[in-house]
Amino acid sequence: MSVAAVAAPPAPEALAFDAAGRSYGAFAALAGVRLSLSPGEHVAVIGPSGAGKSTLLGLANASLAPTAGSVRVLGQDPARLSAPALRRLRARVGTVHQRSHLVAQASALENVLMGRLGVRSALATALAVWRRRDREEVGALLDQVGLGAKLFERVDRLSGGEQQRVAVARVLYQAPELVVADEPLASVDPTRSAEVLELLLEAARGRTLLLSTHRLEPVLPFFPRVVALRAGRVLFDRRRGEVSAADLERLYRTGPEAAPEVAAPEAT
Amino acid sequence: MSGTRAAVPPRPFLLRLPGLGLLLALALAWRLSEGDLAALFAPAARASFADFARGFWPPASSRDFLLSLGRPLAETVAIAACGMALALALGAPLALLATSPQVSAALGGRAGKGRRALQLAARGLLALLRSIPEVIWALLFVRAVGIGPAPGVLAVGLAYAGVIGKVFAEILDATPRQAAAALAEAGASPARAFLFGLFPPARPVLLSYALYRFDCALRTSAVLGIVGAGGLGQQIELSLKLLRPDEVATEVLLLLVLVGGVDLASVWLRGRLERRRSLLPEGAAGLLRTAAEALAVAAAVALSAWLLDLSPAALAGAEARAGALQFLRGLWPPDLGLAALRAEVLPACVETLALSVLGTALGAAGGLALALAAAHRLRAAGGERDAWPGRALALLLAGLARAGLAFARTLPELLWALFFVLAVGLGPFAGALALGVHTGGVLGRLYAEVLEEVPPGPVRALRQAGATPFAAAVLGALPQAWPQLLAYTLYRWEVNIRASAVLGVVGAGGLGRALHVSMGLFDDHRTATLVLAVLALVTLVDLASGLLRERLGASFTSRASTHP
Repeated sequence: MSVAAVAAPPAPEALAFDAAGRSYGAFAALAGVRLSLSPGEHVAVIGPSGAGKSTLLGLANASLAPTAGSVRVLGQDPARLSAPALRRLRARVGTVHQRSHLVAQASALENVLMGRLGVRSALATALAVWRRRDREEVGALLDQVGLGAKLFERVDRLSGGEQQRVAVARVLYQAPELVVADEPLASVDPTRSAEVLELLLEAARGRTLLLSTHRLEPVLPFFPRVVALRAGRVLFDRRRGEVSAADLERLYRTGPEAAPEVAAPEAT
Repeated sequence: MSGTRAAVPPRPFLLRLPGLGLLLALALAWRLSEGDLAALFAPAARASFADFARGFWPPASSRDFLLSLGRPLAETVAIAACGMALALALGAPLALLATSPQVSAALGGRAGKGRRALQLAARGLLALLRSIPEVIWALLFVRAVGIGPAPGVLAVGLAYAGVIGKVFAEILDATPRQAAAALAEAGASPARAFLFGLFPPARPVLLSYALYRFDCALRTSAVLGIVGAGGLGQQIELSLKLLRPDEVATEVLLLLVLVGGVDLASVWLRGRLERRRSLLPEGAAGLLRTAAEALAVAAAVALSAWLLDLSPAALAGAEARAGALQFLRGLWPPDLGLAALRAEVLPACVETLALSVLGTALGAAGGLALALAAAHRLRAAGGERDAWPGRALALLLAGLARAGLAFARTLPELLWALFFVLAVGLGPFAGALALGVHTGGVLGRLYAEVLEEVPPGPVRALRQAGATPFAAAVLGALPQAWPQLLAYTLYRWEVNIRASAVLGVVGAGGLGRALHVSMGLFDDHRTATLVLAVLALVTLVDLASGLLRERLGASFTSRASTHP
């Protein structure tokens, strides 16, 4: 069964933020964001910590609901969906987190198989552990991320970089239309981050990708479009070639308005 | 802290308000539970202690006697097994309902008024189930379904469901939930996110707690015999009443072996879970093995039920139902006549409260003394250059203290009460002593663990400055361990108020005696009143203890932050 079979009528945009905002009590983590991504587009979100990157990504993968404006994910408004419809939508969005959010006690194989829990029952997922066809499929994906030998390894015995590879393999197995990656390189050894990024880009080929990062040099060259957030607002949204050093200086400058009064609760 | 304020040294703890309050409470408790040093050291009491102590060795080992214990022992294990099965079947689903809203949010559930109401209802039911002590549940069920092992199973099942449900919910609340939230983000339903994301990290903790509870269930079911619910307890009571300490020794040893066996099994199982590489068994062999283990557990429970003659017909047949219904109808309305309340219920409540305070205080004092001896790692800190006879002696002392603590806590309060009633006579003082000895065993072990976990730096420094091991332990470790020790003591007080409410069943004072009488007289209205009184008292003590713990925690953290 292909995931595309349950897709909604074709939408022109993979993601559409219309004056979207999200507040936690009196604190506005994100306000008045207008943003649209066409299918297949790869976009990087940059900005200082507390700028609202994680909140933006939480809205994009339908795990958060906006408190102002609206967000359409793959053409649907998550706020208006019934619980089962929301789950079907979420099954079409894959997420890679900053730190590994894998199940520590489970093997790499089991963690990857959990990628399809949105469309497969618990029993079928458990049975897949012993089915040769599923094992081979997962084995091939783990081979692809360079972890073929660790199929039966518990993930809490893997390094940070290896865990991120498992997470990438899980997204590959989920086969989503939209991939959201929240600082995927933050817990990866810097010498290994280029490889993990490459794998992630490979996994996102042909899909829409929204990735946040605070490290610019290793990441930006691979993204044609850059969105900059500062204090919960979009500072600029440009082609990569048009981003100037002055723009970045303006983005990361520590000014009076740079320090938010309240520590931003990151939506992780 | 500023130098000017330090000019007036603070008064010692016992001369400040909380300390004075504590002293007053202890003095009141001593008076109200008829504390009597003369009775404790009277020649008759001394003689009965000595006789008993001498009689313990050698334990009875005649073939007939050992054979006669086979059935009660099997019954005790079977009651514990069936009771635990019932407790898990009731407690685990309630725990799921009682988890905090954050957990269900992480699993992708939508928070609604209905969910919140369910959570509150589950928490209330769990609180009710665990506020009535096992022995009182057993007394009620003996009245409802008749003498035999069935009331024992039901009592363990209901009382433990309350505890297990509460603790399981706390464990699930404390389990990291990012992994489950990530699954929910990928579209998994709450049930699937729970099974694959939240249950796996919680599993070792849940398992180890369930095994610890099984350990408790064995001890409890050994006691329930005293109120007519079968098992080893009946034998121990008999041996005590017949003044045959050698038999008691054998019975207690058997109980120790049983409980120790469960402890070992728990360690082994947790180690195995820790070593596993995956959630589900890997190959066909692993799958078979897991299936076989599950089958073995199910078979053990079924065998236990068969041994105890627990059939659905016996439990829910027409006759049993009629008896239970009649009893339930008799409970309503409770007897709330003011005269009776004033003449009987209130004094019994006061006596129970006094009993619990005195017992806890005695246990804390004795436990602390033995814990200081038992905390060997503490003694060893900085003592590397001691002469070997001193070190060997300390090691021996630590071993003896640990054995003493284990012995004191293996025998439940009710059995100690049977013994002390013989030694110092009927009344609440016997109950306080019994409570003190058992509590000392429990608290002593916990205290020793805390003392051994304390950072050894200060102790080592004091030793190197020439302090004796005892002084170094008292001055170097106690101040660090203090908040934790107090918290454990208060927790134990919550347990002890439940225990004090039943000690009267064997003549050791408090509400239990009144309950025993009203049950014997088939005065069901009075019984209902007394059960309500127990509920009220337990709830009150839980609240007071929680409040005190909170205050202590607050004051200690604030002090810690002012003393870097």
